[in-house]
Amino acid sequence: MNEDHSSRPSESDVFAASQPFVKPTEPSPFGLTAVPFAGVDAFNAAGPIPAMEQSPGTSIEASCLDVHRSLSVYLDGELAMTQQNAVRAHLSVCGPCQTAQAFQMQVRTTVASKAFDPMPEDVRARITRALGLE
Amino acid sequence: MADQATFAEEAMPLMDQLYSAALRMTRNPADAEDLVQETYLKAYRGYERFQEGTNLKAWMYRILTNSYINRYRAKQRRPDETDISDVEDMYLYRRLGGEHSDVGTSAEEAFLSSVTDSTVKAAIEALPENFRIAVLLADVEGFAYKEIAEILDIPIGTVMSRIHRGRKALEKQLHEFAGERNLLPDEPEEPATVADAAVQIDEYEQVAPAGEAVSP
Repeated sequence: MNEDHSSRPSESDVFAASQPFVKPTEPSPFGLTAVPFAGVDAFNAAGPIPAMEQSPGTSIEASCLDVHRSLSVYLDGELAMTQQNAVRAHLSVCGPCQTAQAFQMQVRTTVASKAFDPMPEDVRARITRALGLE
Repeated sequence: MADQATFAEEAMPLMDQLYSAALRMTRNPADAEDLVQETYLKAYRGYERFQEGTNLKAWMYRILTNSYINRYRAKQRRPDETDISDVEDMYLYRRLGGEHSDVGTSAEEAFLSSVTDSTVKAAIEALPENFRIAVLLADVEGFAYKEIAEILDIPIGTVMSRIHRGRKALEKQLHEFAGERNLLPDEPEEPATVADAAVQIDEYEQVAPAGEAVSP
């Protein structure tokens, strides 16, 4: 049905394959099932809808490395909910990762605020005239 | 006419943003002006098909990016599929020593305050097209992944991949551009002007004439 996907890996497949998180599954002392933190990879696996239907017994822990890898998508609020929660939980207790988070947010603000060019007034007037909106 | 008035009221205030985006895409003011004009004419003609209550800004950007891609790619035999090499996560942060420092270090703040508008613009414009447009829509225009997927008509996983990788490449470009500019005053041996450089080259060639075998 979709030839592109069968003939060669999509960009997202390549992306998922290029950044595997290698964290073993560990038994939890509280009877919860700890699953590997999949970060941005889980986004691809889960598709466009965040995986909100995780079973109640599932928990995820994020390491500093996981946070570094996922911070960009986390700040967009686009990680699957379990990953989003795991990163948030890690950030709440990890000073160095909070610093990294603050820096990434500053980078974004810098980029967003320094790439603006106003439309030249004569061109704006030309377009307005062309549309008959004077 | 109600439609005309509504279009004027809602679409015209987006013109500066659309022009900024067009300029990053085309890297050329004349092309950007034409692209925005084309976008507005198409949007105005098709405005009756636009469903009120949906996202007009995303709709305008969809027309802009489609117009850009059609216009730009029409000149090429095949689409620009340039890829970028993978850049490590947190590139800037690591380069500035963030991992080994305490909260709010001056190196990071100094770097960000030294980054100029022209550096940011040049860094965005240096990205390959696919990554440039995705980063632009996310980080400058503030669209969500789902909106970008609709604007570009690509899967949301591809959107995330392009944004994630494009941002890292952008950080690398920012670091390189800002570094180049900041380092210039610290290298006094660099010729101060083109004329100085020419004199230095002349002097060098007098000592060792280029392409001539030295006879014994």
